[in-house]
Amino acid sequence: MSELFAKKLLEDVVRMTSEAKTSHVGGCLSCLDIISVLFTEVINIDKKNPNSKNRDRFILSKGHTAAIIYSALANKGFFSRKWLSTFIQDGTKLPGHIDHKVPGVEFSTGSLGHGLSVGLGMALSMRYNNIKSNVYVLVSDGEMNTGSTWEAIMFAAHHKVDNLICIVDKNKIQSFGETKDIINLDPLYEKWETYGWNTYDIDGHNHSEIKKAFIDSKKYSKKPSVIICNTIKGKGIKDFEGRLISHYRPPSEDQLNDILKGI
Amino acid sequence: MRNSFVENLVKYASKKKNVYLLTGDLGFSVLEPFIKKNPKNFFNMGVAEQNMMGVSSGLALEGNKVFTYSISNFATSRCHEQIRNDICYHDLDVTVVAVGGGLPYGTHGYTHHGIEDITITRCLPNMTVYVPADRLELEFCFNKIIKNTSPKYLRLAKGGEPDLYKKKISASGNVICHKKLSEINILSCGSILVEAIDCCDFYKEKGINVGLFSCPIISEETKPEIKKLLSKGKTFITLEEHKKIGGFGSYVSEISVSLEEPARVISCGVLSDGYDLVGNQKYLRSLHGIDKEGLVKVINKLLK
Repeated sequence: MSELFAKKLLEDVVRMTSEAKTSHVGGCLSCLDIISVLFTEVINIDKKNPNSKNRDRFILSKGHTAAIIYSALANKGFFSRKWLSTFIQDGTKLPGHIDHKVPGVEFSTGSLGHGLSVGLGMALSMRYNNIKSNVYVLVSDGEMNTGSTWEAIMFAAHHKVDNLICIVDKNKIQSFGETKDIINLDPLYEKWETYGWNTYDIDGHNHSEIKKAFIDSKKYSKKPSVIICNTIKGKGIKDFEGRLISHYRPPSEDQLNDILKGI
Repeated sequence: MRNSFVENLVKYASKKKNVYLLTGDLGFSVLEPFIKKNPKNFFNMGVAEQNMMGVSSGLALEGNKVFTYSISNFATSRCHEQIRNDICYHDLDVTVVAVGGGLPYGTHGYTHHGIEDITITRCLPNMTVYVPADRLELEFCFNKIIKNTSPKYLRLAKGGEPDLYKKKISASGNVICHKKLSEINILSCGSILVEAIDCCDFYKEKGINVGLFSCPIISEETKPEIKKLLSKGKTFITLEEHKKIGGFGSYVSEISVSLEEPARVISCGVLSDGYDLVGNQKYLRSLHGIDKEGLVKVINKLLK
């Protein structure tokens, strides 16, 4: 199921960024498989009851990759797929950074380093009110430069917030270069583990590995969980894979056509 | 004023299950009454104000009424983007409570001078700024805060401010009249009101009436009341323990210029070129010309 969903996301995201001639396709593609598994096999959300108390909460903290969440929500029926062709156009309901006014979107982000704290607050309240759902927060590896993210990491572990699951899209490239050259995050697994989190380190493009980590993390108690997903920025567009340019350049018409042919 | 805030909060929380108090590791000998009665609704977030604002947003999204507590600059400047994007853009029920608004921590140096906070909070969407002058104005504000489900900034001074009212405030709007409208009037914001009262009493003894209004709530909702005053009077002196740039005086001036016949607005506040002066509150008020004597100088010039 998640593989089929991944194809829909790929087509939508490449089409949306190509037609709108806009940036950030690389970060959408690096988390595409994570989002596919999450939205088809993990999170409990319902378009008919989007504000249900018992729903799982998902926050995209790397808000610049809004396109992929808009696609996921449209494909889950939260709003018409027709909206996708209006992405970032004048007067659109779908801005370039994710926005809570869009049906199904829990929280607006765009400045990095906000999402984990907000998810933590939600998780604390849910625990207090005995709501047995989880809060999922997707952060980027570049985002882990922010002090606020580390503030949240320390606090969540101290208070054993085990209904909070963080996913790191470790695509190894940020705005102006490779993470290892800007502020080296490694050894990232050891860092999270030392900070008191139940930590996974997986291939972020392998659906069965992603699914297994999510299932395991849901069962884990007394610690928050983090799933570090090793990914490739721009995955799926050959000339963009693992390259900084995928952060900025929109897919060309030829690249879009290649993707469509492949699907 | 700090203790009065906690008294009001404890009373309110006793009837509600969803009231949270978060602190950035401050509030020793102040917050304990709340913690004692509501241990599960209290978090010491540590010295981590950005996370505190994010967490408060998450709590508010889940239907809670959240109060955060810190010293003025740590509560606002340090985490301004979280207040802007997370709390205000999402129109959440979070009250950012700050102590040390103005110059009560004047001896501690510039890092502790809360003199830009009104500027940077009042410009944010959905935000209402509350600046009470004493414990009764605090109660007046708090009763409005509990009904307001949008973002709020509550700017407290420190503690030990004198009582400026003899009884509970019964004003129907947001502006409180102390001395009726006259040729020359003072619009005061915050605990500096004590200086304005002394000034008006000084002139009263001389047989001169100076109008005085306390304006503890800076918001869109208050604007029509201020507008009405400005359109009826001629000269208004705004008084605040805050930089002149963007603060209460600017707020009043913005309203005045929207009038067909703008009133004369004279702004008295912390001077830009003396922002880093160090000393106790009384000393600094005097240096910035925002104490009684400073006001008398301004008014004497107008009377000439």
